[in-house]
Amino acid sequence: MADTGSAHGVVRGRRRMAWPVVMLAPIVLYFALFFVLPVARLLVLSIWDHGPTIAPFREIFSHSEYLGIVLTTAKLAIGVTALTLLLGFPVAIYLARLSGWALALGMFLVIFPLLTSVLVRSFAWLAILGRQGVINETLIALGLTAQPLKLLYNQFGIYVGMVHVLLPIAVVTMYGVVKGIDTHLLKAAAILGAPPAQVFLRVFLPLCAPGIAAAGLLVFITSASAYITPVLLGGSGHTMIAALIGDQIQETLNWPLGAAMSVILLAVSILAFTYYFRLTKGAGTPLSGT
Amino acid sequence: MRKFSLPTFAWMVLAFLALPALVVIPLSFSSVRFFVFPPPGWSLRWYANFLTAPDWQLAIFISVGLGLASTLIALVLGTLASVALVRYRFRGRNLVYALLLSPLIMPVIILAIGLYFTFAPLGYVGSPVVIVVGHVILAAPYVIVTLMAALERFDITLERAALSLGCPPWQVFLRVTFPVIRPAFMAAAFLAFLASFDDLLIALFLGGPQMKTIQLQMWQGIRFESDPTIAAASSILMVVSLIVFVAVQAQTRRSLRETPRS
Repeated sequence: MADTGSAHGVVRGRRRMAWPVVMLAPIVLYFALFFVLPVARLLVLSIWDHGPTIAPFREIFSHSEYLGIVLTTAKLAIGVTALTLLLGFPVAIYLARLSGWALALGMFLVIFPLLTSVLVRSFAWLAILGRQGVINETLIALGLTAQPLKLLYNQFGIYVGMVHVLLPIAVVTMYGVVKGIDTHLLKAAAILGAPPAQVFLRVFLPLCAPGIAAAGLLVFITSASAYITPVLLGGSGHTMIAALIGDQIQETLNWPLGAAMSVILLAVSILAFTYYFRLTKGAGTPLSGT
Repeated sequence: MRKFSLPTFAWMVLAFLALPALVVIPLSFSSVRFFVFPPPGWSLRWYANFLTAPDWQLAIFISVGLGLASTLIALVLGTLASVALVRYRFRGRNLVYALLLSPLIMPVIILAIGLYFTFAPLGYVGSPVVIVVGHVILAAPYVIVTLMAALERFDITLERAALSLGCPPWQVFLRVTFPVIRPAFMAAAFLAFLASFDDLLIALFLGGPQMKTIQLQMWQGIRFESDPTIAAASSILMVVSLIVFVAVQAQTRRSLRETPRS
């Protein structure tokens, strides 16, 4: 198409570089100032105190209490991720087969929780898992137990809350993956004589694998850095790292220590994102733009 | 061994997802202060409390105000960015794209703490401006993702036709592009508002005694003296989300029927 010669920078001619810069400058500047800089400040605070220092990090690694929390966080995050993927993948497969009414309802049930805040969702579990909550009242009414079960303010409560909060994201991500699988490949395998189990294990699953891994990374990072749900459902004892960080900032006012813990969390997150971006831009499995 | 039924399993998981809403809404009509389910009696007192108590009214005002401000800024910044990212190819495009979307997967606690460290020494904690600053970071990615998807589907020859007929570029955007992508724009505005409205962590670390959003008010309410007003607040929030969601869906469907696409 011929250059219109317009002075307003249609994507051609020597003004080509000008417009993107002008249009992106505001937001990039904004992000540089209020996103990159604050995070950099965090890093600086953890290694600088009138001179370079590793004291905050040393403090973390020398206190068994802190290391214990880091370990618990990791274990919980892995557990929540495994459970979420295990529950979510079949749901994604099922939804991918639906259409019409059933699909609309299914997608609504998956997406609606995302429109409500994490706080509201976690709060609901207080009412469900509490001593006089739905589950205990039902169990006692049915005579299955005499005393209410302690389902809250422990790891069980955190698990339930976190899985509930993260399932929608996992299902939506994996739904996109499953929908993107070329069913001709599955049919071809079947035609060539593979039994359904083999088609699933050796064709379908490997094709889904990058997408599932991406969903898993997302869930892992979100659960490792979770603050609201673990604090609400896990009680006042610190179980996870985000709560510990918040405590250093607001209660003990030990900023360098809080910063150092944040840096550790950030480092793990960045590692996870790098793999996540690689998986979602990877060749092979087409991933929908979720 | 009974055969594993995928539909049954799937619907059970979906029911699990719906459980909180099914519990919170009846609970909000409970007549007693404690979280007993099923409630022993019915009452509207918690709704009355939410709508008339001064601290809740202030929280509603603050949440809505901050939400609107954040949405406006996020829409302006995000629209410019989306158009630039979709229409142009340039070096560093992928890097910029990754940067602008990273708040979606970065732990919010890190952003909240970072902003706190930045603004606390300057004495700005408790200021609405600082909270809006943080909320825009949370909201912008949703705007960009939504608008980029719509712009990629948009038929650019419409724009070129308008340009070749002598329409200046700004008018092309306002009178040709925007009307077509308006549903996506509404969806982006909705998501941006929700990102701000539903945030707790930024408000928790950057807010103050006079600057409490609904979420922060709820958080403190749950932890320190809880009563079903929180259930009433939750139910109202859910209903509002639902209404806006349905409205945006309806707009999208109508617009897809009416306008030309490539």
